Amino acid sequence: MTMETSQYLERIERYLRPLPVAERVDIVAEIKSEMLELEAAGMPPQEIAARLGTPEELARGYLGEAIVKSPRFSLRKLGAVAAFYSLAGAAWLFILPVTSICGVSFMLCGPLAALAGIVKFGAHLLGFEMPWVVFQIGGYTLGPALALVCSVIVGALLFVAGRLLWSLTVAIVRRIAAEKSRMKG
Amino acid sequence: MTVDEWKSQIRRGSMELCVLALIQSAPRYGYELISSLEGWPILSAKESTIYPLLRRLMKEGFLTSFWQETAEGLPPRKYYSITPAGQDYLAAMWAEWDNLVAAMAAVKGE
Repeated sequence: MTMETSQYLERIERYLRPLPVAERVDIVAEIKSEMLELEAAGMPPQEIAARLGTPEELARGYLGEAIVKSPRFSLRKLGAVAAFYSLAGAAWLFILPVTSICGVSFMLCGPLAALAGIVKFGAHLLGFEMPWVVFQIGGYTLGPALALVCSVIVGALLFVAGRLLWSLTVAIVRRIAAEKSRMKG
Repeated sequence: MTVDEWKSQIRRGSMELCVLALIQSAPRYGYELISSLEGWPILSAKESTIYPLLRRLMKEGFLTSFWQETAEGLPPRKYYSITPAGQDYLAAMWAEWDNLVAAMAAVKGE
Protein backbone atom coordinates (compact mmCIF):
# COMPACT_ATOMS: atom_id res chain seq x y z
CA MET A 1 0.00 0.00 0.00
CA THR A 2 1.43 3.41 -0.95
CA MET A 3 1.70 6.28 1.52
CA GLU A 4 -0.93 8.27 -0.43
CA THR A 5 -3.39 5.42 -0.02
CA SER A 6 -2.89 5.05 3.71
CA GLN A 7 -3.13 8.81 4.23
CA TYR A 8 -6.33 8.90 2.20
CA LEU A 9 -7.83 6.11 4.30
CA GLU A 10 -6.79 7.81 7.55
CA ARG A 11 -8.58 11.00 6.52
CA ILE A 12 -11.77 9.12 5.62
CA GLU A 13 -11.66 7.34 8.96
CA ARG A 14 -11.30 10.67 10.78
CA TYR A 15 -14.23 12.31 8.97
CA LEU A 16 -16.46 9.32 9.67
CA ARG A 17 -15.88 9.39 13.43
CA PRO A 18 -19.57 10.10 14.25
CA LEU A 19 -20.55 6.71 12.76
CA PRO A 20 -20.45 3.52 14.91
CA VAL A 21 -16.98 1.90 15.02
CA ALA A 22 -18.00 -1.36 13.30
CA GLU A 23 -19.58 0.55 10.45
CA ARG A 24 -16.60 2.86 10.06
CA VAL A 25 -14.12 -0.03 9.98
CA ASP A 26 -16.21 -1.78 7.35
CA ILE A 27 -16.44 1.36 5.18
CA VAL A 28 -12.68 1.93 5.30
CA ALA A 29 -12.00 -1.77 4.52
CA GLU A 30 -14.26 -1.58 1.48
CA ILE A 31 -12.60 1.57 0.11
CA LYS A 32 -9.17 0.12 0.86
CA SER A 33 -10.10 -2.98 -1.11
CA GLU A 34 -10.90 -0.90 -4.19
CA MET A 35 -7.75 1.22 -3.82
CA LEU A 36 -5.53 -1.87 -3.56
CA GLU A 37 -7.26 -3.41 -6.54
CA LEU A 38 -6.60 -0.28 -8.62
CA GLU A 39 -3.00 -0.20 -7.36
CA ALA A 40 -2.52 -3.82 -8.38
CA ALA A 41 -3.89 -2.95 -11.83
CA GLY A 42 -1.08 -0.40 -12.12
CA MET A 43 -3.04 2.83 -11.65
CA PRO A 44 -0.84 5.62 -10.22
CA PRO A 45 -1.83 6.97 -6.75
CA GLN A 46 -2.88 10.42 -8.06
CA GLU A 47 -5.25 8.82 -10.53
CA ILE A 48 -6.74 6.59 -7.83
CA ALA A 49 -7.35 9.61 -5.61
CA ALA A 50 -8.89 11.55 -8.51
CA ARG A 51 -11.20 8.66 -9.26
CA LEU A 52 -12.47 8.27 -5.70
CA GLY A 53 -12.88 12.01 -5.17
CA THR A 54 -11.57 13.84 -2.11
CA PRO A 55 -11.94 12.13 1.28
CA GLU A 56 -14.29 15.00 2.20
CA GLU A 57 -16.54 14.27 -0.75
CA LEU A 58 -16.67 10.56 0.01
CA ALA A 59 -17.28 11.14 3.74
CA ARG A 60 -20.04 13.64 2.94
CA GLY A 61 -21.75 10.94 0.88
CA TYR A 62 -21.82 8.55 3.85
CA LEU A 63 -22.76 11.15 6.45
CA GLY A 64 -25.46 12.60 4.19
CA GLU A 65 -27.08 9.18 3.69
CA ALA A 66 -26.89 8.49 7.43
CA ILE A 67 -28.64 11.79 8.32
CA VAL A 68 -31.22 11.86 5.57
CA LYS A 69 -32.29 8.21 5.84
CA SER A 70 -34.91 9.04 8.47
CA PRO A 71 -35.88 12.37 10.04
CA ARG A 72 -35.81 10.76 13.51
CA PHE A 73 -33.49 12.31 16.04
CA SER A 74 -30.66 10.55 17.85
CA LEU A 75 -27.53 11.81 19.59
CA ARG A 76 -25.37 9.97 17.08
CA LYS A 77 -27.12 11.85 14.31
CA LEU A 78 -26.34 15.17 15.96
CA GLY A 79 -22.66 14.15 15.72
CA ALA A 80 -23.15 13.26 12.06
CA VAL A 81 -24.75 16.67 11.41
CA ALA A 82 -21.81 18.40 13.11
CA ALA A 83 -19.35 16.47 10.96
CA PHE A 84 -21.46 17.11 7.88
CA TYR A 85 -21.61 20.87 8.27
CA SER A 86 -17.87 21.09 8.70
CA LEU A 87 -17.67 19.53 5.22
CA ALA A 88 -20.63 21.39 3.71
CA GLY A 89 -19.15 24.82 2.99
CA ALA A 90 -18.94 28.27 4.53
CA ALA A 91 -22.54 29.48 4.15
CA TRP A 92 -23.93 26.51 6.08
CA LEU A 93 -21.26 26.69 8.73
CA PHE A 94 -23.45 29.25 10.51
CA ILE A 95 -26.98 28.05 9.74
CA LEU A 96 -26.68 24.32 10.40
CA PRO A 97 -25.16 24.67 13.89
CA VAL A 98 -27.93 27.12 14.84
CA THR A 99 -30.80 24.95 13.59
CA SER A 100 -29.36 21.68 14.91
CA ILE A 101 -28.30 22.94 18.34
CA CYS A 102 -31.48 25.01 18.93
CA GLY A 103 -33.52 22.04 17.74
CA VAL A 104 -31.91 19.66 20.21
CA SER A 105 -31.91 22.13 23.12
CA PHE A 106 -35.57 23.00 22.62
CA MET A 107 -36.51 19.32 22.48
CA LEU A 108 -34.65 18.84 25.76
CA CYS A 109 -35.89 22.01 27.52
CA GLY A 110 -39.55 21.47 26.63
CA PRO A 111 -40.06 18.31 28.72
CA LEU A 112 -37.86 19.76 31.50
CA ALA A 113 -40.01 22.88 31.77
CA ALA A 114 -43.15 20.77 31.98
CA LEU A 115 -41.50 18.52 34.57
CA ALA A 116 -40.56 21.53 36.73
CA GLY A 117 -44.19 22.71 36.67
CA ILE A 118 -45.44 19.25 37.63
CA VAL A 119 -42.94 18.89 40.49
CA LYS A 120 -43.82 22.33 41.88
CA PHE A 121 -47.54 21.59 41.74
CA GLY A 122 -47.04 18.14 43.29
CA ALA A 123 -45.05 19.67 46.15
CA HIS A 124 -47.78 22.30 46.65
CA LEU A 125 -50.41 19.54 46.94
CA LEU A 126 -48.26 17.74 49.50
CA GLY A 127 -48.16 20.91 51.54
CA PHE A 128 -44.73 22.42 51.00
CA GLU A 129 -43.66 25.17 48.63
CA MET A 130 -40.64 25.35 46.34
CA PRO A 131 -39.82 29.05 46.18
CA TRP A 132 -36.76 28.33 43.99
CA VAL A 133 -38.96 26.99 41.19
CA VAL A 134 -41.00 29.93 39.89
CA PHE A 135 -42.89 30.78 36.74
CA GLN A 136 -42.63 34.52 36.14
CA ILE A 137 -44.27 36.65 33.47
CA GLY A 138 -42.60 40.05 33.71
CA GLY A 139 -42.82 41.01 37.40
CA TYR A 140 -45.78 38.73 38.10
CA THR A 141 -45.17 35.33 39.69
CA LEU A 142 -47.76 32.65 38.98
CA GLY A 143 -49.25 30.43 41.71
CA PRO A 144 -48.49 26.68 41.61
CA ALA A 145 -51.66 25.66 39.71
CA LEU A 146 -51.29 28.35 37.06
CA ALA A 147 -47.54 27.65 36.85
CA LEU A 148 -48.33 23.99 36.12
CA VAL A 149 -50.64 24.88 33.24
CA CYS A 150 -48.28 27.49 31.79
CA SER A 151 -45.15 25.35 32.08
CA VAL A 152 -46.84 22.41 30.37
CA ILE A 153 -48.00 24.69 27.52
CA VAL A 154 -44.62 26.39 27.17
CA GLY A 155 -42.88 23.01 27.38
CA ALA A 156 -45.05 21.59 24.61
CA LEU A 157 -44.45 24.66 22.42
CA LEU A 158 -40.70 24.42 22.97
CA PHE A 159 -40.71 20.73 22.12
CA VAL A 160 -42.67 21.32 18.90
CA ALA A 161 -40.34 24.17 17.93
CA GLY A 162 -37.37 21.87 18.57
CA ARG A 163 -38.83 19.14 16.39
CA LEU A 164 -39.47 21.65 13.59
CA LEU A 165 -35.91 22.98 13.78
CA TRP A 166 -34.57 19.43 13.67
CA SER A 167 -36.68 18.63 10.59
CA LEU A 168 -35.38 21.83 9.03
CA THR A 169 -31.81 20.68 9.72
CA VAL A 170 -32.46 17.34 8.00
CA ALA A 171 -34.12 19.10 5.06
CA ILE A 172 -31.12 21.43 4.63
CA VAL A 173 -28.70 18.49 4.72
CA ARG A 174 -30.77 16.70 2.09
CA ARG A 175 -30.71 19.82 -0.08
CA ILE A 176 -26.94 20.28 0.22
CA ALA A 177 -26.26 16.60 -0.46
CA ALA A 178 -28.40 16.80 -3.60
CA GLU A 179 -26.69 19.99 -4.78
CA LYS A 180 -23.20 18.64 -4.22
CA SER A 181 -23.94 15.54 -6.21
CA ARG A 182 -25.42 17.64 -9.01
CA MET A 183 -22.29 19.77 -9.23
CA LYS A 184 -20.05 16.80 -9.80
CA GLY A 185 -22.66 14.98 -11.94
CA MET B 1 -31.96 24.43 -15.65
CA THR B 2 -29.49 23.03 -18.14
CA VAL B 3 -29.87 19.62 -19.73
CA ASP B 4 -26.88 18.43 -17.70
CA GLU B 5 -28.58 19.26 -14.41
CA TRP B 6 -31.69 17.51 -15.61
CA LYS B 7 -29.67 14.45 -16.59
CA SER B 8 -28.07 14.29 -13.18
CA GLN B 9 -31.51 14.41 -11.55
CA ILE B 10 -32.65 11.49 -13.69
CA ARG B 11 -29.49 9.61 -12.86
CA ARG B 12 -29.97 10.20 -9.14
CA GLY B 13 -33.58 9.05 -9.36
CA SER B 14 -32.74 5.83 -11.21
CA MET B 15 -29.59 4.80 -9.36
CA GLU B 16 -31.33 2.60 -6.75
CA LEU B 17 -33.08 0.72 -9.53
CA CYS B 18 -29.84 0.28 -11.53
CA VAL B 19 -27.85 -0.96 -8.55
CA LEU B 20 -30.52 -3.42 -7.38
CA ALA B 21 -31.05 -4.71 -10.93
CA LEU B 22 -27.33 -5.35 -11.49
CA ILE B 23 -26.99 -7.10 -8.12
CA GLN B 24 -30.05 -9.23 -8.81
CA SER B 25 -28.40 -10.83 -11.83
CA ALA B 26 -25.33 -11.80 -9.75
CA PRO B 27 -23.69 -10.76 -6.45
CA ARG B 28 -21.32 -7.87 -7.18
CA TYR B 29 -18.75 -5.77 -5.38
CA GLY B 30 -18.66 -1.97 -5.35
CA TYR B 31 -15.91 -1.35 -7.86
CA GLU B 32 -17.43 -3.89 -10.24
CA LEU B 33 -20.79 -2.07 -10.09
CA ILE B 34 -19.17 1.30 -10.71
CA SER B 35 -17.20 -0.05 -13.69
CA SER B 36 -20.32 -1.67 -15.16
CA LEU B 37 -22.26 1.58 -14.85
CA GLU B 38 -19.40 3.45 -16.56
CA GLY B 39 -20.30 1.50 -19.69
CA TRP B 40 -23.44 3.67 -19.95
CA PRO B 41 -22.38 7.34 -19.68
CA ILE B 42 -25.85 8.50 -18.60
CA LEU B 43 -25.75 6.08 -15.66
CA SER B 44 -22.13 6.47 -14.62
CA ALA B 45 -21.77 7.36 -10.94
CA LYS B 46 -18.87 7.99 -8.63
CA GLU B 47 -17.68 6.04 -5.60
CA SER B 48 -19.04 8.77 -3.31
CA THR B 49 -22.54 8.05 -4.65
CA ILE B 50 -22.50 4.26 -5.00
CA TYR B 51 -20.85 3.18 -1.74
CA PRO B 52 -23.15 5.22 0.54
CA LEU B 53 -26.14 4.07 -1.52
CA LEU B 54 -25.14 0.40 -1.10
CA ARG B 55 -24.85 0.93 2.65
CA ARG B 56 -28.30 2.51 2.83
CA LEU B 57 -29.90 -0.28 0.78
CA MET B 58 -28.29 -2.76 3.17
CA LYS B 59 -29.66 -0.93 6.24
CA GLU B 60 -33.09 -0.91 4.67
CA GLY B 61 -32.88 -4.70 4.29
CA PHE B 62 -32.82 -4.82 0.47
CA LEU B 63 -29.22 -6.07 0.26
CA THR B 64 -26.87 -8.25 2.29
CA SER B 65 -23.11 -8.38 2.01
CA PHE B 66 -20.27 -10.84 2.45
CA TRP B 67 -16.49 -10.56 2.22
CA GLN B 68 -14.79 -12.93 -0.16
CA GLU B 69 -11.12 -13.73 -0.65
CA THR B 70 -9.80 -13.39 -4.18
CA ALA B 71 -7.58 -15.93 -5.84
CA GLU B 72 -5.04 -13.62 -7.48
CA GLY B 73 -3.53 -12.29 -4.26
CA LEU B 74 -5.73 -9.20 -4.32
CA PRO B 75 -7.40 -7.92 -1.12
CA PRO B 76 -10.76 -9.48 -0.18
CA ARG B 77 -13.80 -7.94 -1.84
CA LYS B 78 -17.12 -7.02 -0.30
CA TYR B 79 -19.90 -8.57 -2.35
CA TYR B 80 -23.55 -7.53 -2.21
CA SER B 81 -26.49 -9.80 -2.91
CA ILE B 82 -30.19 -9.06 -3.02
CA THR B 83 -32.65 -10.14 -0.27
CA PRO B 84 -36.27 -11.27 -0.81
CA ALA B 85 -37.38 -7.79 0.33
CA GLY B 86 -35.01 -6.33 -2.25
CA GLN B 87 -36.54 -8.56 -4.95
CA ASP B 88 -40.00 -7.26 -4.09
CA TYR B 89 -38.83 -3.67 -4.05
CA LEU B 90 -37.06 -4.13 -7.38
CA ALA B 91 -40.14 -5.73 -8.99
CA ALA B 92 -42.29 -2.84 -7.76
CA MET B 93 -39.80 -0.31 -9.12
CA TRP B 94 -39.66 -2.01 -12.53
CA ALA B 95 -43.47 -1.96 -12.68
CA GLU B 96 -43.45 1.79 -12.02
CA TRP B 97 -40.66 2.24 -14.52
CA ASP B 98 -42.65 0.49 -17.26
CA ASN B 99 -45.58 2.60 -16.24
CA LEU B 100 -43.49 5.76 -16.64
CA VAL B 101 -42.05 4.72 -20.01
CA ALA B 102 -45.54 3.96 -21.36
CA ALA B 103 -46.88 7.27 -20.06
CA MET B 104 -43.95 9.20 -21.56
CA ALA B 105 -44.48 7.50 -24.94
CA ALA B 106 -48.14 8.51 -24.80
CA VAL B 107 -47.24 12.09 -23.85
CA LYS B 108 -44.77 12.30 -26.69
CA GLY B 109 -47.39 11.06 -29.16
CA GLU B 110 -50.04 13.61 -28.06
